[in-house]
This record gives sequence, structure tokens and C-alpha cells, in this order.
Amino acid sequence: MVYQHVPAYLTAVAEASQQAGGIALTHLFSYPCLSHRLGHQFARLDVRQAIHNHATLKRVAHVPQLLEPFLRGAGCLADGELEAAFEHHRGAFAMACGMYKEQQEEWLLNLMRKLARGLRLLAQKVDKETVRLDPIMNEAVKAISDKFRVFGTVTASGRRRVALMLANEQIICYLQLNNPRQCKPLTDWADARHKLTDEDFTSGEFAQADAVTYHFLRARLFLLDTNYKEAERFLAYAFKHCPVAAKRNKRTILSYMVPVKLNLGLLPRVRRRVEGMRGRGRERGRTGRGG
Amino acid sequence: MVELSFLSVKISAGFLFSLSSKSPFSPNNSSKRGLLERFQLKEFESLVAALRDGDFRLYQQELDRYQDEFIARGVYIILEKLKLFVYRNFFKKMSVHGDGEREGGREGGPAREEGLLLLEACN
Repeated sequence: MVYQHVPAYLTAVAEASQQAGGIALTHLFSYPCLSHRLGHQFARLDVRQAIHNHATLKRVAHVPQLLEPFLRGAGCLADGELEAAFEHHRGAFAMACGMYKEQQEEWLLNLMRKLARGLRLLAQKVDKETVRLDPIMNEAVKAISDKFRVFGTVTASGRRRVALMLANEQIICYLQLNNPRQCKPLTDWADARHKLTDEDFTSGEFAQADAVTYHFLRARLFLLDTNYKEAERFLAYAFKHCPVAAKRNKRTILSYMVPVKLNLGLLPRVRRRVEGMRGRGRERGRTGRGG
Repeated sequence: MVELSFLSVKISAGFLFSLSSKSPFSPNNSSKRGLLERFQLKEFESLVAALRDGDFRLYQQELDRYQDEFIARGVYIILEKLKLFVYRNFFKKMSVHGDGEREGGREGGPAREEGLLLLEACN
């Protein structure tokens, strides 16, 4: 749903804050759900005052603090001030990380994931539309890696969960920056420090979305090292555990999996034709393994 | 005899398919479709067919056709390396063809030389 008016949006945030899990709230912390008109309104008014004046929202704990930098970012985005929007968004992300460190609540984890992703997308947009000597994506990676250091050094289960999510975002950034070598500390964190195995991922300690993304990204890194066997193993995990409803994601995984399998000598199955009965005997001899 | 048995199989298969078309095990059922078809990866279908048949001209055509997509995805180099497999399959086919001719009592045709000539013509 796209919101057009400030009171409607703030009421929706207040209602979503009371729901468990924070999925609805996470959706509201994304720029696509704010209309261009609403963004302009946030750019003109005093955001802090607007939140404070809203009767329901001011009684909700923690959310108004997070909402303020995000809405300032939305206002800057509507005015075309992309770098200012990036700065505000970075503030919101840092604040969410600080809160999660203290409270460790599920809704904050979902929100952090959304904000980290938003930070990357915003940096991508800035780099695309403005000419800069140093890409702002580097700053986004720095902001994410600062938080990764906080969460990655502790072996507690909840922290590992966040660290994996932040590692995924960093790997995506490094791949976009054409700098995959920088991913070495991140892969070492998973392999050498925590020795993450498939059982760790299936045990439910990590979010399924993070586990699938991690496996897909690791496979891409293995592909760059021409290690097809490991790439195939990671892609197979990602494809198997990716939800059936996420058809586009499955297709993306498959588009990497097919060349890898072909390189390993595994060809897709020949399609059976009803009318091709005569040639079936011949075809059967040529049928390869694999999917 | 062979023709008759094929005909009877064809007739019975016709009844069988018409009966089972509404069952979940019908040939049109999505689970029976291959993954490439199900996920609409048409660019790989022809590539795989070319690889399997050792048809390097078709393989190169398809590679050129979807070049931009493959480069954006970062799999172009991997697919480029697969050309070696296409050549391997091609020579394997030529070798099998040559052996078949020899076993059939005919004079062993210069399959290898033909293959090399074909290779030159295609490149």
C-alpha cells in the first residue's frame, strides 16, 4: 500500500508496532510505500514535532526514534538530495543496530535487514546518478562492516544471526564494487571462526532467507575462483531451501546452477515427448543425470 | 512384425493418454516438466541441446544471442569454457559414426578427416 497523507502513515506505523514479528512495520520502513507527495510533505514539516503530536505513535516505545531519521531521509529523497538521504538512512540503520544489541527482539532484526538493504540500494542509486571519485557504496560497506564487527566477534546465537545478515549485505556490496577479494574476512568468519555447516543452517538458528542468500553468494564467490564443485554444493543448498513461492529467486539460482552443472558434466534431463515415442529409445540412451 | 507391434503400442498409448489426461499424472503435469522449461530458462535449453549434440555452430549462435544477459549474470566465461565440451562431444559422435561404418562391413570412412574438415568449415 502506498500512503499519501502523513496522519494515515503515522497511524499505520503505530498499529504495525503492536503486531508481533514486525513484518508489517518492516514494510512501512521502506521508501516504495511512501508516495512522492508524502515524501515532499516530510521534507517541509518538522518530523520530530509531527511524531510527537501523533497521539498513538508517541506512546509506542523505540519506534518513533527510529522513524525520525528514516522520514528525514524520505524527505531528502523526495527533494532529490540523495547524499543527505543516505546520511539519514545510515543514522537510522546505526540506531536499529544499537537497539538490537540491547534488546535482541525479532522485529528489530527484520527491521535491520530492511534498513541494511535500503542503505545498499540507496548507495547504488547515489553512485548511479552522481559523479563521485570514491563510490558512496564504500561508505555503505563501512557502515555495515562496523556493525558486523560488533556482532561478528561474539559467538552468541542471536548475534551470529545478525552477523550473517550483515555479512550477506557486505558480500553483495563487494560484488557490485567488483572487489570480491574483500570478502575473504567474511568467508573466514563463517568457515574458520564459526565453522558453519549445513546442520547449523537447517537447525533454525539462522533465518532461512539469510541462509539461502549466504549460500547463493558463497557459490558466486566460488565461481569466481573456478571452484565448480563447491559452487555446485552451495547452489544446490540454496535451490533446495529457497521457498517455492520465490520463483524469481529460484530462477536466478538455477541460471547459475546450469552452467556449473554443465561444467561438471551433468546435463539436464531430456524432455519426454508424447509424440516422440519412436525416438524415445534413442533418447533414453542419451539421457544424462541431474536436473 | 516390428511395425505391427509399434502400431499396437501407439493405439493403446492413444487410449491411455486420453484416459489419464485428467489425472495428476498426466504428461502435461508441471512436475513432469524439466526445470529449464518450468523456470523459463529458454536461453539454456538450446545451449544444452547444442552441447549434447556437439553442434558448435548453434552453440556459438546462442552464446552470441544471449551474450549481454550472460555477461550481466557473470556466467559468460563459464559458458565459453564449455565450448571445449562441445568439441569433445562432436568428435565423440564422429568417432562412433566411423566405428559403426566399419562394423557394418563398409570400408572405414575417413570420419576423423571429415570431422576436421567440418570443424574448419564451421570456424
